[in-house]
Amino acid sequence: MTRRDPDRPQELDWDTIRGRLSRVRAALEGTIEESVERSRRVMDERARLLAGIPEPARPAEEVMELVTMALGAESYAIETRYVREIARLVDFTPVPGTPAFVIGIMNLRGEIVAIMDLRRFFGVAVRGLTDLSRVVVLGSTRAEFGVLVDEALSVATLRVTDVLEPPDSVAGIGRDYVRGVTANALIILDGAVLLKDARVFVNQAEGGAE
Amino acid sequence: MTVGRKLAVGFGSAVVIVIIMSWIVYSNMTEVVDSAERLAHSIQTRKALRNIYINLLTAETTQRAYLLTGEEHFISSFGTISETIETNLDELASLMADDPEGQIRVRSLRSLVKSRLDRLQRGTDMRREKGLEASLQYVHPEEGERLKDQTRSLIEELLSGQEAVLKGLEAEAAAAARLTFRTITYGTLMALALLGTVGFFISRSITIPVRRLTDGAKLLGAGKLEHQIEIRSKDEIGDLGAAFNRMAGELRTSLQTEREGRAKLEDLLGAIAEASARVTSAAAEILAATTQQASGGQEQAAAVTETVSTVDEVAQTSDQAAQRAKAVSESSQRAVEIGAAGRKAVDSSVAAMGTVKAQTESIAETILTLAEQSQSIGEIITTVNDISEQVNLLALNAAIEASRAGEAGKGFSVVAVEVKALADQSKKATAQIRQILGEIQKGTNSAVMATEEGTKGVNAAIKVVNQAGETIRALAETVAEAAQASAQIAASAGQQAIGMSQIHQAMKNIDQVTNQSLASTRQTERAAQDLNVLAGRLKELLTGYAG
Repeated sequence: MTRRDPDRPQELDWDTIRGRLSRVRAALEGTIEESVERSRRVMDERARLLAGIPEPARPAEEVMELVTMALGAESYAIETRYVREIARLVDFTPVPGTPAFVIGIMNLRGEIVAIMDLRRFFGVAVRGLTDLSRVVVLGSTRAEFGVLVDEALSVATLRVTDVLEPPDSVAGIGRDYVRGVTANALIILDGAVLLKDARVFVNQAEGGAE
Repeated sequence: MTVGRKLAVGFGSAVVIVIIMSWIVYSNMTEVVDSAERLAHSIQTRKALRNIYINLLTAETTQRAYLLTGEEHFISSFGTISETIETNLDELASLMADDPEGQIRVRSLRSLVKSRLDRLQRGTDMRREKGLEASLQYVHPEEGERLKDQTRSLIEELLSGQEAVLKGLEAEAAAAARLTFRTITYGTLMALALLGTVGFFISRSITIPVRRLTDGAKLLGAGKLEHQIEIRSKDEIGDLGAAFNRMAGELRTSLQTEREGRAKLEDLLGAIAEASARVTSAAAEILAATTQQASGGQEQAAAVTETVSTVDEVAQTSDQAAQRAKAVSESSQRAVEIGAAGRKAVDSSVAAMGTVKAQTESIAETILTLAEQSQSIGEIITTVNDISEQVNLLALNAAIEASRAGEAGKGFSVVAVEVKALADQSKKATAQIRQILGEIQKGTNSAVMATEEGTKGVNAAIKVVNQAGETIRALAETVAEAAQASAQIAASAGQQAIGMSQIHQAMKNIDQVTNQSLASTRQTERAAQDLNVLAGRLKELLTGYAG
């Protein structure tokens, strides 16, 4: 009877288990308490970073600030000075009698903005709407129109020297709309051209609507 | 049909025939007697007529004689004669009473006779008064003759009538006699024939069975008891035959019984003979045996002494056995107590198993609660994820604003970047939590299944423990029985010791008895010799019987 079956699992060491449980409890309680400490640490880190000597400011003409975004399988960017804000595509109303790339109109804090599907405009492969889909609202002084993108990525700074002339074979996009490309295949759109053209289209569309 | 009835039929038919014949004869005889009576009547009638005629003649004769002689004595009888004639006429009238024609004739005859007698009287008177001449004158032959002839013819007529009656009666009597004769003759013949036939059959129906019976009885008398008399009739003779058959059967069985008895007797005699032979040989054997017995008795005495010492050894051994049995009994008692303890242990382990089962089930429920709580954690995580995404967007917009602010927004853009990083981190963290929640889900499932298995295992264990309890109980019972048995062994070992001492005493008695038996063996020897002689005599006696 005393012989132990080798196949049988080793008996539980309840002391160990109790120890593990108390550790877990302590850890859980610790996270709540620690969060203050931890956030302070993060803050300190951030303060230190901010307290550090900032990089010498680059001349304005040397750098350009860009909002990067994903459109289909490719990454695009547009200068921040043409971007008013980025909004969620919460609700929109399709407008009949407009070109195919005009999806519809949406209410952005009281302002009615037309939404363009750049993918259709550029002839990029169209994905369905997801919860990552965003509307990049363009306009220099006020909100002109929105551009639907698959994902808004980040705001980045780029040296102007890093921007290369776009090759002739940039996929399906009108050469006029592209300002340049970077080494890591980021296509930089020309915000000014886009705004101008789009304004025309939208006005046409609005005129058509009128 | 019984014999009596057969005989009754035979005699009855004879009596009937006789009655018929007697009746016929009687009626004929009645007729004959009747005609004879009428014949006598007729004869009387004739006689009366003849008397009238004769008396009339006598009267005439006497009158004539008187007339001739005148002497009175001739007519003295005249009055008597006329009275006689009157009587005769009365007689005739009474005889002819049943014949009206005859009555008329008798009346005319009476008047004729009267007138004749009157004439005769007158003639007589004339003779007496006037003398012979006058009377002769008177008695004129013609007148007298005419009356006379008339009278005669009338009488003749009456006579001839009676003659005819007589003849008819004769013929009637003859016919009756003939009929009687025929009746007697043919009746007798018929009766003879009928009675002969009936008698023949009756005698046949009696004699044949009687002959068969006689033959059967002769055969039975000759000893052929298996003969069965054939019974065809249901009368007294049939009964007699059946009685004979029964008697034969009884005789057969009694004969059989007697034969069997005889055979048994013969067997018995044979057996006695054999027994006497055996007795003879046995007597010889007894003689030899008694001699051996005498020597054996001495050996027995020696053996008894040995036995006594052996019995003492056995008594010692049984003492030891008793002690051991006691020890076994005590240890069995302990085993019984241990068994009871084992039973209690089994009961408490069953109870413990029940507790384990209940606890396992409560574990399962707790795990279920945990799983549900992890689900609510998941819901919270979704909210957190949403918030982090919004924060991300806010950070992006902040960065854009900072960038558009140009140099003034530089510091703010750094903060925006940080906020975005935080948002990204929290998103990653929620993803990790979600993954961990999935693992917790899996773990919960397997834990619930494990507890289910555990419950099943506990059930099986309860069953096994119950079986073990049963086994222990049976074992305890067996041990108890063993304890009882060993106690009995101890008790019987004590009894055995007592028995041994009794045996010891008995062996001494046997020793005495052996000596006595030696003496009696010698007596037996003598008795055996006597027996031998008696057996020889018996054998001689039996040789006379053994047939």
